[in-house]
Amino acid sequence: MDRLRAFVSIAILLAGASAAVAGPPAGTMPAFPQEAIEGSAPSSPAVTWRVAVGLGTLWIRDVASSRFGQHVDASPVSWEGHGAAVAVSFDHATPRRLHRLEVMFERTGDAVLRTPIAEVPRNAGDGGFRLSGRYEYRRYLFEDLGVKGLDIGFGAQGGAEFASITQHFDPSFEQRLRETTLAGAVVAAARFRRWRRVQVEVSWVNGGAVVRVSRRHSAAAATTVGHWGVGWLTDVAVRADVRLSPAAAIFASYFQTGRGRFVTRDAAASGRRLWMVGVSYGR
Amino acid sequence: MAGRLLRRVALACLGPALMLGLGCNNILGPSKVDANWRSYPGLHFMLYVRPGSFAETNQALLAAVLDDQFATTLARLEIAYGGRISVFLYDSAADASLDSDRSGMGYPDTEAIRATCAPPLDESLVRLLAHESNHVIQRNAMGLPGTSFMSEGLASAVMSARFYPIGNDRLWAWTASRGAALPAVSTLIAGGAWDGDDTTASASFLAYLLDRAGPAPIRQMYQLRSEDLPARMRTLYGRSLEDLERDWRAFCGK
Repeated sequence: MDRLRAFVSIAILLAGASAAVAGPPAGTMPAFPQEAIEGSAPSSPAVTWRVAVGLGTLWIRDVASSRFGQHVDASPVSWEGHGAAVAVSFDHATPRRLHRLEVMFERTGDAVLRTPIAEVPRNAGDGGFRLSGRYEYRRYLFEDLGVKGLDIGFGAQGGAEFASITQHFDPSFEQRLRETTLAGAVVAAARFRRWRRVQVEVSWVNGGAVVRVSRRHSAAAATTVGHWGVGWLTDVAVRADVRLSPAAAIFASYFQTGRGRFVTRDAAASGRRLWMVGVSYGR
Repeated sequence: MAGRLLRRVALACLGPALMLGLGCNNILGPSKVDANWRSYPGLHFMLYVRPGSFAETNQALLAAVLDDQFATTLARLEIAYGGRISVFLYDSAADASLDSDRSGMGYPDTEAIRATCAPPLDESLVRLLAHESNHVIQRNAMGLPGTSFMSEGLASAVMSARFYPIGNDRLWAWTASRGAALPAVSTLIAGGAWDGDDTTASASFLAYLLDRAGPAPIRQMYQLRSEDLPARMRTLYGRSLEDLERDWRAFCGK
């Protein structure tokens, strides 16, 4: 409940800040360039900065074995942590092309073990963090496809992540897992620019990864066990921008990912969900 | 007009359909777990059984067997572990997405087990559940095992014989019966293709070492990789791997 209150407060704060950046109330000035109002879809500013904060959930299910092409034989129980995230992104765009750089930091705590019918709180020290960066190039090949304002694009994405998760087992064992990932993926995206102030963007990302996992267990503190492996990812992101002025907007986004890794004696599947709000400023 | 509408609807449905039906995670990712379970809390285990199943009928005995195994494992290895393990007992191999009606998996990070629990309640079922619960206990109390020899072998090397005759005597009788067909311990340590006999042979050898010198050397070797194990064995036991293997075979043959 505290987290929800904080989230709402931050959202209101960001909206206020964005309105201040935008200057006069939206109704007193054109929301978009003239051609946007008369033509089909509004053009985005060439350069846009976005800052967002949000709440998220991370779940992990360990995997005992797997067979290619079949569902992974993962644990019926998931380790689930909840936390906050902050992201900064930079877009360089033309109406048909997009270059996007994004950096995100997530912190996870308040962990539980979730079974299909119950949840069991974990040690207060269970938690972790993730630092990720990615670059995406996207090209909108189809404009006004079937519906006015609907553009479809494709692209490629590359990224790197570093994540650390600490778990505790009774009576006093600590296990720290560190995961470094280099990923490459293809992107399918759609944006809908039918309205004067609102733009909705959906992207679907699929790709593979090279993963390095290292584990340290307090029962064998002198030994850090590390292995290389491979992984996959599927991301779905939805973002709605509400333009307050030609340069400023507020937005809300939802991000969901499903990932997995096959590393010797250390396979796992995981997923994250993130709800974020933020402001953008473009020129 | 109807064609245009149809095209719009098709386009609107295409994206979500693609995302839901395709994608790396949809193909490779884990299956969802249904909620058709009843839970029975025990001392060290939480049993999840299908309503009205064979496992539910026998849940009290299964809990007693598993609690006894839990205590035996801690005592034999002289380790402390206070976790509570979630044991999901499926009706059949198909229900559990496992290979046979005597299959299971241990998931140490989430302190869980998935296993089939089909009748009868016999030695093989108890051995299966004890083996998988030992995976969870041993990895969470001792760290990540460095070899299949240690991971699979030790999980079967500390069986309790209180309810069913699945203890060391059974292991040594099995070893004697295999004779020359027993794989060399160096082959077991090297790993590679692995089957049930490899697990039992590893368990027999490790049970012999536990019996001979206690659990401290085993704990020191648990995380070592294949290439480091023989040298550490010589340091810890004062004898080479070949000598230890000869002793073990002679002991089991008596």
